[in-house]
Amino acid sequence: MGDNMFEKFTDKFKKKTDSEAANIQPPENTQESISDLTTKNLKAALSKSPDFKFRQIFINDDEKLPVTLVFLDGMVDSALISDFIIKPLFWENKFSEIKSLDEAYKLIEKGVLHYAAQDKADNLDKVIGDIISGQCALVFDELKKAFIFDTKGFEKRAISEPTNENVTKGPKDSFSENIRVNTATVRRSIKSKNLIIENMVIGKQTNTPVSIFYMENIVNPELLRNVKERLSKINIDKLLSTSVLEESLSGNNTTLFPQVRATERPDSFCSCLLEGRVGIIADELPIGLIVPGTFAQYLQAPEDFARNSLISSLTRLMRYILMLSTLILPGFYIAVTTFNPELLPTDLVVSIAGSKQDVPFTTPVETLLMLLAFEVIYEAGIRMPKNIGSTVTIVGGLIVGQAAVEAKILSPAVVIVIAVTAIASFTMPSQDLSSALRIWRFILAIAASIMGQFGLMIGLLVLLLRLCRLELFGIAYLAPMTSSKKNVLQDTLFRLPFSKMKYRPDEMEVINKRRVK
Amino acid sequence: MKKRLICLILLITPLLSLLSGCEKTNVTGIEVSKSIFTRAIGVDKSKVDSENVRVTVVAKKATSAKESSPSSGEEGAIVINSEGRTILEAIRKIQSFSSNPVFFGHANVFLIGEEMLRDDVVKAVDFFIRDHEFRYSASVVAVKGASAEDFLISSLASDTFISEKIESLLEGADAVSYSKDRKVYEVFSALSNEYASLLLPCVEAVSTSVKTKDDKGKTDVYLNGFALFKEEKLFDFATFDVARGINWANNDVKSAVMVVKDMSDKNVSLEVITSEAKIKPKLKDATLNVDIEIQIRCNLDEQYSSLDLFSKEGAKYLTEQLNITVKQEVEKAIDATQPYAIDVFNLADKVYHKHPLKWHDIKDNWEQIYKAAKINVEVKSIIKGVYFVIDPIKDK
Repeated sequence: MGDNMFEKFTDKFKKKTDSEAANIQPPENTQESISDLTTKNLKAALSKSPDFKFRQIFINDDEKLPVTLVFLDGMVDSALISDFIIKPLFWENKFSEIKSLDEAYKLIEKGVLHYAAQDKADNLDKVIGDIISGQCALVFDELKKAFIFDTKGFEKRAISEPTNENVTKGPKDSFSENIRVNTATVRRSIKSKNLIIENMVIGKQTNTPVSIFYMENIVNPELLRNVKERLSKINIDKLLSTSVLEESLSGNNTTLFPQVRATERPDSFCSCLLEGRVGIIADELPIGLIVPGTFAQYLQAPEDFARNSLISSLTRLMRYILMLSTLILPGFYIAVTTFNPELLPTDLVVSIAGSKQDVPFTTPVETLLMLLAFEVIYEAGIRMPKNIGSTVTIVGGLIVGQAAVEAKILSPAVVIVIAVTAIASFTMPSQDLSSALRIWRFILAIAASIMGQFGLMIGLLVLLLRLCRLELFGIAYLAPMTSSKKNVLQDTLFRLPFSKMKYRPDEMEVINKRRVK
Repeated sequence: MKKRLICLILLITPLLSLLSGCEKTNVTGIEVSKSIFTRAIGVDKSKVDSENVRVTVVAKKATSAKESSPSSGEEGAIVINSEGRTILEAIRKIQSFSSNPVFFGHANVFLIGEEMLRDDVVKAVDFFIRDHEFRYSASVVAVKGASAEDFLISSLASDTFISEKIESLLEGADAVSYSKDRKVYEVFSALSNEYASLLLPCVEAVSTSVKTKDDKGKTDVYLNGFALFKEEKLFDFATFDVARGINWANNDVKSAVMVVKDMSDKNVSLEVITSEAKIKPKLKDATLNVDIEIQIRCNLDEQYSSLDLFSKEGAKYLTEQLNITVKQEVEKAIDATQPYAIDVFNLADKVYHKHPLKWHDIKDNWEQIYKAAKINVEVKSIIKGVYFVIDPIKDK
């Protein structure tokens, strides 16, 4: 064993010295290196995939002036390339006077090609990256330089209506897969120079562009620094789903509650930016992420801001009550029917007892079974193809609902309780919150099965303590309910009229606290 | 190391569920469908052994919605009797023969039979005050002229379930103010007060002349008056005017109908809307003078004569009549209690609060002072209005 380790160590050492040696002594042939920006090197890197196209062009039809056009087929708009790059290279009169590629390069640099999105490049890796992302490279082999033209033009989904967050009054657009479209959508909503969009790339293999959005005159610089730092620390090979960002941003994988708010609506996204939060959008993900997410945010529906503030406040209040009922109703039912029947009105307890006659299962078993059945139907409803979706409803409704009750396997009371719980859970504006509540509902139901009302209370206390402990970037999860300052509840339990919401959320500690003078 | 420990716990925990064993794990409570929900409890003296108590538990049978079994009457009820040296013993004995466990958290009427009241009321209520399972907001009711058991069984035949019936009677008691609901906590505070006398609302089963189809005599339950206690023994029952006299002075009249004669000696109904009473004790040396001031507001609601009563003279006459009637009722109540040193107005407390220092000197011979006290009743009333019609219906 000792020998082995020694060998390994010496191996390592050898390798190290080898690489050091390589660094110290550059190859003799400086004429042509594998890191030079030439067509040959590009071909070596890319030609395995047939969708990379290499096209040699002679400027002004002069064979002494060869350049190569490199692009990725399907990612570029061919019309743009032929009309604005190839055509002028052949026909532009200015090229007839030149003798060398060097002159041609300078001419293009001066703007002979009339192309707006044009860039110089002399780094092989950068050019490869650009070509992959849908740009077109004009390579000057002799000079080992290239021009990059933004000729992106691939098929993309049109901006569609949001599917999960609908409003009756309000914008009907949602984020799409294309990051450029998304940045433009946000820019169109916030027409201010203070809206800053910074770019970075995440994913060792996917090289996904990610944009960070913030309002320079509002956001807390400390928060921004932290977000950037955490994003730059992401070490992952693929960014193909939002949870990559969510997990690394929240940095806490032990909680069920969502800490990064995800929205498909640009208007929600923008209003969060104006509260001093930081937005993140990744390419190919039609979702805007917002940090830090606070608990109160997950109970705000976009509809709240489109309706009368009084009506919104009442529905908001109702949503909080429904949140509590979807969380504790099954547990409460178990507790009152097995441990604390004195909490129910006499007539109700007698009718529940009547409905449970001849049912073989105990209430905890019955309730947990029904909760499980609900989860199964819910899961099946998501997975099932749309055209056979109604089968779930029929089988679930008929078999579980009616047949089970008629066969006296389940009592009607428990079916009602679970139905109310299920419907209440669908009123939650955020699916992420809803799933967190689903798990806690089970925990509370089990606690109530063991110790009744006492167990339920212990469970709720544990939940409350956990929520109190949560924080993201120094901002408490339960904020602003944790604050005792005046007017902090303006947009939590109720929504004040906009004229009364003069200050941005206190917990964000923004630079510019007043919304309006 | 830590990871290994967690893995071990995660592996072992699900395996534990396979070790079922023979002993029953008793972690769950009692199923709601397996309990008997007591609605009313009757407490009596045992007929066999006078030292023992006899407890009667009445519950409604739980029926599922689809079964069309009767929800009232004798078939819809469960009646369980048990005897023991104490109430707890009797109640625990029920579990030895009852098919299902009995749950008392929903019992909202405690009935005490007359025999038991005459013996010792504390015996009958102590357990209900002390035990956690019973409601403090339950009503305590005295049964007049019968044992609680007989009363419960005879009234089960009526259409409304007995506990619901008594509850609705107690709720409706304010309409005539002949009686007043007493909750467990009120009984508790009255009993723990050394000088005040306990008052319990009193029910009575009266067989009606109406014959049912099967020719069985039907009984009706009446709520009327109070059971008066001297210390913890029943002294007497106060009914109708006497009972209302107590309520007038104790500020317990919420509403009442007072029938008085008008100038033409015909009946007039006055509906009492509000009544406010103040008891003002005056202690001079060792003699007690008490002023009971009652202020009544009422509406004229019914008249048989064709006189225009809604005039200055008419109103003055009617209020005078009303004042006299109310004064008489209160005086009747005083006559029925003061000579026997039964302090239904809780005068001792009032004297104590007014003269906390002097009270220490007189408390030892309070009974004599109270018996000798001069109690003046003064009634002021006002007729606020009529409802729709001011003038008499029939013209002269």
